[in-house]
Amino acid sequence: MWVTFLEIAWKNITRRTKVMGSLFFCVLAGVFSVVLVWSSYDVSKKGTELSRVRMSADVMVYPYETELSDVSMLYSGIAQSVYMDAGIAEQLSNGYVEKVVSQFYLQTLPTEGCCTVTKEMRLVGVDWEEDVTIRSYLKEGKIDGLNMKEVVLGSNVDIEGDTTLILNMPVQIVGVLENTGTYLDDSILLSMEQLRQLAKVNFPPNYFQGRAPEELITCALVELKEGADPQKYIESIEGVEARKVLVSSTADTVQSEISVLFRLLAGAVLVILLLCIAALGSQIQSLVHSRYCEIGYLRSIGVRQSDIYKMFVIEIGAVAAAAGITASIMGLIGAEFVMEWVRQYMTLPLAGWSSQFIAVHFCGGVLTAVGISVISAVFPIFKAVGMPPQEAMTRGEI
Amino acid sequence: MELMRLEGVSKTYSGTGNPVLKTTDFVVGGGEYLSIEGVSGSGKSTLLFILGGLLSPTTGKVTYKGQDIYSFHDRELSEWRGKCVGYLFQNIQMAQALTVRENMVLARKLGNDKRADIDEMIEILGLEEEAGKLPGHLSGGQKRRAMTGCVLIRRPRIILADEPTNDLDCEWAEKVMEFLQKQIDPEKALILVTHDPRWSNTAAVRYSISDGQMTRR
Repeated sequence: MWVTFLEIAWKNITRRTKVMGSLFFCVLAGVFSVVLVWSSYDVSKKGTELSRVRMSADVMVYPYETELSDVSMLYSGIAQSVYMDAGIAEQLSNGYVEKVVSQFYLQTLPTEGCCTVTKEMRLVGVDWEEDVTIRSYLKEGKIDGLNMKEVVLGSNVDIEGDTTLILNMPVQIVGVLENTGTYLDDSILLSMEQLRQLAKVNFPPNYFQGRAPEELITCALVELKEGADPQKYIESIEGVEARKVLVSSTADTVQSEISVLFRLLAGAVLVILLLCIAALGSQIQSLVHSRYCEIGYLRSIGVRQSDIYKMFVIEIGAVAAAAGITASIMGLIGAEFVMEWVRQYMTLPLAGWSSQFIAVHFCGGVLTAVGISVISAVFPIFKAVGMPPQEAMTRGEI
Repeated sequence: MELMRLEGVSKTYSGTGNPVLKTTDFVVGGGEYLSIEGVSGSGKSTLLFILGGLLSPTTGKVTYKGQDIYSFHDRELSEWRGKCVGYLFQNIQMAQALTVRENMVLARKLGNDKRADIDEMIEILGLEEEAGKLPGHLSGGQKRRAMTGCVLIRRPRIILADEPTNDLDCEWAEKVMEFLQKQIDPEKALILVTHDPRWSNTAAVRYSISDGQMTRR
């Protein structure tokens, strides 16, 4: 009889389109808002957590002249061409330090045309041998070194094909980084030597304060020894004429901003969800009430109470699952668009949209849909099926 | 052969003081054709609901072949309703999202004969063109005939027919009544509730019910 009631439930769904459609949209609205906000929050929270691990630096040091905020320097790929003497890297080494890695930044110039980078992006010149971090997070293209005219792309950099033009120089794309939650995701990496050459060719000397690019760096990433107190280290390099940023406290600041923002959104989502549950309960109550006569009739011809429960559970569960699937897909797609839009106004580290991340939020959305529908349906269905068949028919007629 | 027995059965609905059905003793035997007449509110429908296993009495016992049907659990009572009693309601009752044919297929699955010929039933009741339609798309008379088909396809032992000729024209009323009477055999019974003396006069045993009290005519 299971198959029979499956068939009956399916026919009730497909032949009562207005009622079922109404239930569908009610669940869709609630679950969409949940998945949208939840996955947006999670992708930025995970991005912050990821960045703590994958920044692989406890302190970042860069020139005072930097126009960007600490958050933007660490988490965005906004082009920033500021420079300080390369010798500062040596001044940063002391007993607290495990390693200091230097980087040289430049920027692409916005141009129209195919096969070229069309917007302003940060170019990061790295010492491939020294910068172990970057090598560790190479997702595609296992390479032993970054040669001249070769680039590695950050995970969010969208360039098609194997070649492109960087500052009018054709380059080969030899790898892509995994998502790091840091500025690297939106940057293009070249060898420092190559980038300094490009700097000399494409920019005038006064761009570099009249100095040769080989004498300059943009930032130094300092990895401290295990157990070293970052604050004490900062105090120990007080004399260095550069801006020193504690990566962990910047990450904490970002995390608390994210939490505040999403607490507000979570409150709104909760209100929406409660309203949806109330509307859903009302609709299910109405649906069940309109079928009192039918419930009484089915029982009079020999259908068991348990079979009628099953029938309603299948009907409402199927509609809820369909709404949950649709809402989860819409919510995940929406979250990606929303976060891209938010990043235009606010620097946020973002984790990648991995298949595990998508699966968790998708399943969560579907379970939420089924859960709120079951909660809304339990009482009306129990009440209807529990009453004597004669009473069900009489009430249904009234 | 005794099919059903009501012993000391009465019914008072909760919230009301007066019994709708006063203490009743009543026996239905195999091969019997009974009619029950009474004005509106006399307790006819309440009696039929109790006989149909759809409303438990306030007092008394309802037995089918010696077994108290209201002592059954839902599983047993449901099976009994499906196989032993066929209730033709005064108001049309069917599954609204199923077509006429689908309603009969469902009813047959719950009845005594899983191989009963649905096409034959549809033909007898003149529903060839309506078999694929939903109940909401049928006229009153077509719905009445469809509901009759859904009841009789189950081959029930006891048929409870509450105004079975409502909505039917003269021709179909006669056909349906003839068809119902054909169902009677030594192991089956037909209980007819009707206002219409044309039909109540055809019954072998006649009862009247007034103010909840049943008497034989």
